[in-house]
Amino acid sequence: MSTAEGTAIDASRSDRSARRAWPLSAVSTPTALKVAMVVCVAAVTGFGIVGTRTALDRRAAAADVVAHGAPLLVDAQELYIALAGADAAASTIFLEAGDEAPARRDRYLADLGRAGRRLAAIAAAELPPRATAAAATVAEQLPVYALQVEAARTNSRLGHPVGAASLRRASALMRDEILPAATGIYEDAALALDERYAGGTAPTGPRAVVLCAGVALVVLVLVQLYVTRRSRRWLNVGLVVAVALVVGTAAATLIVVQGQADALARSRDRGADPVTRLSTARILTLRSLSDDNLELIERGTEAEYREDFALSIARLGLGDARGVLDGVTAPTAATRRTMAVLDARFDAYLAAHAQVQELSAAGDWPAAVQVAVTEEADAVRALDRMLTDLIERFAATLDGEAERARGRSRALPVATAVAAVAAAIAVVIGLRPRLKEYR
Amino acid sequence: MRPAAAVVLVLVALGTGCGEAPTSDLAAVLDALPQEEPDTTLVESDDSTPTPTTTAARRECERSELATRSLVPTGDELGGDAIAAIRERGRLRVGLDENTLGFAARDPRTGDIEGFEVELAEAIAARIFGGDGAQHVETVPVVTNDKLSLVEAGHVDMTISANSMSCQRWERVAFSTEYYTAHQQFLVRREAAITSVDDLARATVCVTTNSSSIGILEEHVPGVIILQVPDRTGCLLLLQEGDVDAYFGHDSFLYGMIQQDPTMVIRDLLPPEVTVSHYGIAVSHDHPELVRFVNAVLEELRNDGTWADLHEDLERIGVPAAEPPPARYRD
Repeated sequence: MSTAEGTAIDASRSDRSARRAWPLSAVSTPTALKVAMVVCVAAVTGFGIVGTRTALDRRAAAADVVAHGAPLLVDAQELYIALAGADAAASTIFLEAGDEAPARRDRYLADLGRAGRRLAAIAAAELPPRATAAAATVAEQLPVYALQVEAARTNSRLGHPVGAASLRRASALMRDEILPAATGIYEDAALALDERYAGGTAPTGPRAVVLCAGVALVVLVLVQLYVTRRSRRWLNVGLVVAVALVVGTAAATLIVVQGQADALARSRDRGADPVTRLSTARILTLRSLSDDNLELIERGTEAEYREDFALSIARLGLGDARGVLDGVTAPTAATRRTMAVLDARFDAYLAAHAQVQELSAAGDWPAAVQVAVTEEADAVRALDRMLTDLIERFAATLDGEAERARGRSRALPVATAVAAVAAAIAVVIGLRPRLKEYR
Repeated sequence: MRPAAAVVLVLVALGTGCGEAPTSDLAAVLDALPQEEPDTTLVESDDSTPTPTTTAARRECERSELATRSLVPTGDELGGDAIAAIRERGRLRVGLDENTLGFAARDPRTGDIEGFEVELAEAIAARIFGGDGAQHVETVPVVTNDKLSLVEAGHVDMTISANSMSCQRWERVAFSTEYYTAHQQFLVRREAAITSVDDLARATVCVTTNSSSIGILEEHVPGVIILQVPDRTGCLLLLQEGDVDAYFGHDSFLYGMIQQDPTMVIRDLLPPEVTVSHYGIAVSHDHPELVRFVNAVLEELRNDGTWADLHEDLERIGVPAAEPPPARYRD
C-alpha cells in the first residue's frame, strides 16, 4: 500500500510533464474519460470478437474432421477397394473357366453395388474440382465396364474366344481409366482431410487472440494509469475486473485451443495417418493380386505385370523394408499382435505367389491357375479382412480424438463472448462514476 | 505499464507455441499408390515393320520363290540336338493363338486349347515322345506381333499360328512346308454397304499389329484408314461395337468369327493372287534339323489322311473344302 501511495504522490508531482506526455491530457478531462471509455470498450469487444471467432473456427474444424473429412476418406478408399475387388472377381471367374462359383459371381455383384453406393456418397460430398471430374469418370465408365464383363461372360458360356477379348478390354478400362480416377478421389480426400487438420491446428487463431488480448490489456492499463492520475484513487474496480476477465479468457482460450490441437494432432497421427497408410496398403495388395491374375490370363508373355507386382509389394514396406506399412505404430498390445500376424499373412500371400510363378514358369498352367484361384486368392482375402479390421480400429481413434477436440471447445465460444461483454460492462460501470464527478 | 507488458509477453509466448503439431509425411504415402499406366490396347510394335530395303538375298529368294520352299526331311532328325533338348525338357514349347476358333482357341468352358494348329502341335509332340502328344505340348500364347520374336529369342521351339511365309520373314526364322493356304478377306457387318474396294475409301479397317495385311491394304485400298490392334479377336470386338467398319484378315480366322457372331459376313474384295497366304510353322534358323523333322511329320499327315480329317473339322465351321497344299523343298 505504501508503494501505491508513493506512486500516487509521484504522479501528482510530475503532473506537468504528464500533461505533455499523455495525448489525452491535451483535451478536457471529461472528454478524455469518454474517449478512454470508448477505446476500452472497443478493445475489449475486439478481443471478444476475435476470441469467439477463433473458438468457433476451432470447433468447426474439429466437427468438420468428424462429419466430412474422415467419412470422405473412408468412402474414397472403399470405392477403390470395391472397384478393384470387382475386377479381381471378374478376372478370377474368367481364369476358373467352366462353371463359375455362384459365390464369386455374388461377390462381383456385391462389389459393383458397394462401388455404386460409395460413389453416390462421394458425389454428395463437397469435392475439389479434380475429384469431381474423377467421380464423373467413374460414374460414366463403370456401366461400360459392367457391360463388357457381361459380354465376356456370355461369350465364354457359349464357348466363344471373343469373350477373352471382352474381358481384356474391360480390365484395361478398369486399370487404365476407372481405378486411376478412383485413386485421384482417394488422394484428394486424404489431402482434404490433412488440410482440415492443418486448419484445426494452425497457430494463426491463437496468435490473433493473444494480439487482441495484448492490445486490450495495454489500453486498459494505460486508462487505469490515467484515471489514477486524474482521480487520485489508486485502482478502478471496473478496469481491474476487465483486465482480469481479458487475462482469464485469453488464458482459458489458449489452454483449450492447445488441448484441442493436441487432440486433433492425435486424431491425425494415431488415426488418419495409419488409416491412410493401411488403406494404401490395401490398395497395393489388391493391385498386386490383379497383376498376378492378368499375368496368368496373358500367359507370362509380358514382363509388365511382374514388374508392377514387385513394385506394389516393395512399396508396402514389409518386414524391415521402408514403405507405407512401416510408418504404422501400434498403440496397444492387441494391435501390435495383429500387426505381427499381418506380416505372417503377407508371407503366406507371397509364398502362394511364388508357387504360382514357379508352376507357371514350369509350364504347368492349370496347376498355377488352381493355386491362384484358391490359396493365393484366399490369402489376399484374409489379408484384406485384417487390414479392414485394423483400419476400423485406427478410424475409431481418428473419430474419438476429433470428437474429443470438438467436445473440449463446446462451451468456449459462448464463454468468450460472455466474458468480453462482461468486461465491456465492467469498464463502463467503472468509469461512469469518474465521468459523473465532472458534471 | 510494466505488469501489462509482462502479461502480454507471457501470452505471446504461449500463443506462438500453441497448436503446432508435427507434420505428417502424407505425400510419401500417397506417392506409393499405383500410378496411371500407359494405354496398352494399341501397342507400338517391337518387331520391325516391313521395310522397303531389298537385299540381294531377298531378290534371289523372291525370284526362286524360296518363301514357300523348306528343308527336305532326311529321316535321321530325331538324333539332332534340338530334339534331344526338347526330350530332356519333357515338353514341346509351341506358340499358339488362343482366340482363333477352328485353328487354335481356348474353350472358355473347359480351359483347353483346341483346333487345327493345336492338332499339328500334338502330332509333332507325339512323334518326338511317342504316345499321346497332348501331354507333351506346352502352349505359349502368342499375338501377331510376337510370334516370330518368341522363336528368335528361343522362348518357344516353334510357333504354329497362321504365319504367312515370306522372304522377309525367312530372314528372321525358318519355316516348315506349307500346312494351310489362306486368303485375306474382309469381315463386315451384314447390313454394311461395303461391296467393293471403293466403298472402303475413308473407312476404318482393323488389322493385327505387324500383320502382312497392312502392306496389302496400303497398296490396294486407296484412302483406307488402318487401325492396328494386338490380337485378332480385338478386331471382332471393335467391329461389334461399331468402332471400325471392317476387319481385314485371313479367311481362316473369319469363319470362326462368324461362328461367334452370325451378324457378320465375309466379303472377298481383292484378287486371290494378292491375298493368298501360305502358312508355315516357324522354327529358329539355329535348328535346321527341327525344320526337317517337322516337314517329315507334315509329310506323314498329308499322306496318311490325317490332314484331310483335321480339315473336315474346319469345314464344319464353314471353311471351303480343300486338298492339302503340296510340299515344296529347297534342296
